Amino acid sequence: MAKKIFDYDLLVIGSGAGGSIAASIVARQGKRVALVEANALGGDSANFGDVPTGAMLNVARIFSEAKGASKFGIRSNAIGYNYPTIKAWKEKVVARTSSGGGKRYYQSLGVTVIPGSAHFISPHEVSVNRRHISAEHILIASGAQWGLPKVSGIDKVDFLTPASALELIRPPKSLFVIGGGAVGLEFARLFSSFGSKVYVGEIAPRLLPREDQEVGELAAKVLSEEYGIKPLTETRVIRVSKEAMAKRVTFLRGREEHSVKVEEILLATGKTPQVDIGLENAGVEYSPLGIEVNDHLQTSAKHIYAAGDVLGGFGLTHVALMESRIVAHNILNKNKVTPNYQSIPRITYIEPEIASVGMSEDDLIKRDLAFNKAVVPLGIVGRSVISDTRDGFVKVLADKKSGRILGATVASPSAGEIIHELTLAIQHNLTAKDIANTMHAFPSWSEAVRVACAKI
Amino acid sequence: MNSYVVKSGGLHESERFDPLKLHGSLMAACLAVRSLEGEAHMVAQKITEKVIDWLDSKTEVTSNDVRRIAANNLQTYQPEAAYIYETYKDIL
Repeated sequence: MAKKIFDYDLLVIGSGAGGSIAASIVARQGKRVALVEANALGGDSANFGDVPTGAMLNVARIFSEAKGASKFGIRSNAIGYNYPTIKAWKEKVVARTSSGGGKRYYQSLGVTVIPGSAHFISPHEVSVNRRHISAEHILIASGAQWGLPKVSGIDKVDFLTPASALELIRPPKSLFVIGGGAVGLEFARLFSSFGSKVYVGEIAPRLLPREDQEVGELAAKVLSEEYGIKPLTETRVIRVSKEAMAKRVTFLRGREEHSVKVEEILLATGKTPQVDIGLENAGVEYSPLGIEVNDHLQTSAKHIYAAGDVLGGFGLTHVALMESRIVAHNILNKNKVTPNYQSIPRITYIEPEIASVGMSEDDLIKRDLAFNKAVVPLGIVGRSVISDTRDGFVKVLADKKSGRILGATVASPSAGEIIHELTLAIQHNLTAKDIANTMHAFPSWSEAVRVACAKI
Repeated sequence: MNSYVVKSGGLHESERFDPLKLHGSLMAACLAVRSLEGEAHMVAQKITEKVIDWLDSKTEVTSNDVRRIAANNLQTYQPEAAYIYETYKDIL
């Protein structure tokens, strides 16, 4: 039977982390690749997520440090900020970052960039602005969008999402963040640094509920004591309404109804995979939680792959990048590979920075795994004394029998860098002893990692 | 609204979405389960508006998409009519 003629060898839907790498790798192998993007090239992380938020958080951190520098002999009484200039800096960072996702970059690789929304009209064909494009393989990396929590009146008030919050012309006087996960806390910390009165409503008994208990407790303590944020755990927001120019948020806490009046409400309760792209016409099975894939990231239609947030998994850019690389490999090679989700680092950009990898203590208990744990306060290392920073710890969880590291959490300055030593250890089955026997420089935050591993 | 509808399968010829056509088929499904004419009209109107909302960000969809979205919404208002609408798609 003659092989069907397609317009492209690979069509990628979405130019974010889940799509861009696969498009580049497959195009470099001389294949005909098209990339469809409904929004800004580079996707959510580069344009509306990690990058602009990171740029703003970096400014907030510098501002806070400068304000608190008088104890070191630095005169900081007159320090202030100019919000439009901070936003201009954020825009500059986004423009710099998206150079990797720019149209010219893809053109240099021979990738055809097609602006518009893709909608499947058959298993091998999508429609983009009424242009029908066919491909032998298709990668769905359409991402996810911020979802609406089930709160009465939410459709009748203007609310912020993490993307729109970055576009405010000034920090709000007061803000209620619905959702005390990583993104919610980052925005709470961002706006509180610039003077906003911030409340964080979280339904779980602690902030950052996906992390270990110590993390949630530390985050609540530091955010309330240092930044004046009001953490409201075990809190269910039940109603929001307009009140003149402001908004009223009503919530249940300890079976009692309370309410606060705020200028803005920010929704940070999680993302919903973008699956409204005619998947039925392609025979791709999905649920509201995301597209279903096998170990090789193939959907129920084997020539169609999916990667990134549309899978509804981790919502992390680096996971999407890994999946995108795997899809490229599996399209180009007969020996298919599977993603490894055992050693995924996660970072929350608050102070102290929180980073974790592998399994949490709760995960280990749920799986009934025997483990040893060591928690070392940051104050024991020389770097802590030098910088007068004491809030934080390193926690290591290791298999009781083998000593193999199963999970770790670092709460310290630069935790997002320190965590990679432990990520490497988990990825390559290293033991706590291996790390304890490795020389760590003095003075460094990483000394706390060595000490924690020595205590296992 | 400038959405086009392409027939599933075949030559992929498309035509502009026709709300009246959709309204008519929804009305027929509702009347087939003995809804009163006024009620059938109201339900068909509501569902057509929901489909129009759904089409707002889309330039081209398939006739199956329109039928699926309409049926899903009809399920809320008239489950029996939704069954008829889905089952007898060639007649309606």
